[in-house]
Amino acid sequence: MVPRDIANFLARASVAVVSTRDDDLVPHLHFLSGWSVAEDLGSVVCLVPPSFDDGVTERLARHADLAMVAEVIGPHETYQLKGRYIDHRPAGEADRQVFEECRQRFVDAVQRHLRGRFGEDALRARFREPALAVRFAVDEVFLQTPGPAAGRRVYPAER
Amino acid sequence: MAVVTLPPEIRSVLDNGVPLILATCSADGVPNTTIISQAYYVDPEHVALSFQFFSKTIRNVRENPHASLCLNDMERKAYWLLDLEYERSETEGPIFDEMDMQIEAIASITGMSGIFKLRAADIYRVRRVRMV
Repeated sequence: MVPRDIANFLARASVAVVSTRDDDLVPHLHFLSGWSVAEDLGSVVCLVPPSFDDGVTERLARHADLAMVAEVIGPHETYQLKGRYIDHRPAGEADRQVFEECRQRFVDAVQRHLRGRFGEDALRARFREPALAVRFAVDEVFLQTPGPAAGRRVYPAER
Repeated sequence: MAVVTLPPEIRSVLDNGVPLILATCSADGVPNTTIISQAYYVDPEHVALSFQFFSKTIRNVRENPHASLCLNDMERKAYWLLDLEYERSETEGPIFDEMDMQIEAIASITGMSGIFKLRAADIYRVRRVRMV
């Protein structure tokens, strides 16, 4: 279950990355081209570009645990979602709107925060056409915004 | 195991000031992903990462030394992926002092002065490098 405030956060987030791991406990990073939360808040869909999809489905089939970090660039608002792989499918035309919206949020956030340090083309190139849509269930959410509370679990709330 | 060295062109990427992504994994197999402010070139075979307050990362690499680092190469419109292995931590010396100074500079630029505090310089051996 994705808490409503975390779903709202993901709808504002400007960048997100997932990590998986292999049989030897070696972690692997997957820079995302987009992400969205299911309407029933039951899962998150991650759009993975070809340059970051090498072996990801095979690894997830064997080791379902994954960790997704997302940030709103500027205020450094950051959360990490930990969960379990559900399934995957090829990314398609239905994912284009999510991809375009996430990419535009990233471009706008960096340009606002760094005031033109990078051109729009360079920023748009960070988000590549997605090849794969990976769905996962969220078990835990941790605050990662830099500061003394970083690392605190916010879902389920710590007692 | 073959010695892996960093390509020279990666130094400018390490110094570009763009945040990086670090993944680690606990001994019981749970991945962890975090955004870090900078990685530091130590020598052709090693990079250093700052130990500030990402405690799960610190715990993970001390029980399972494998880590993966993603660098943003804005100039080449590419990413660099580095497979790393944690070797040791340094709490004083030239690497620590250099990192401490750079962290404070980044903190003041990003309005986070006083929040970032270096506890140690964690030294990692580079096991694999690739650009995607």
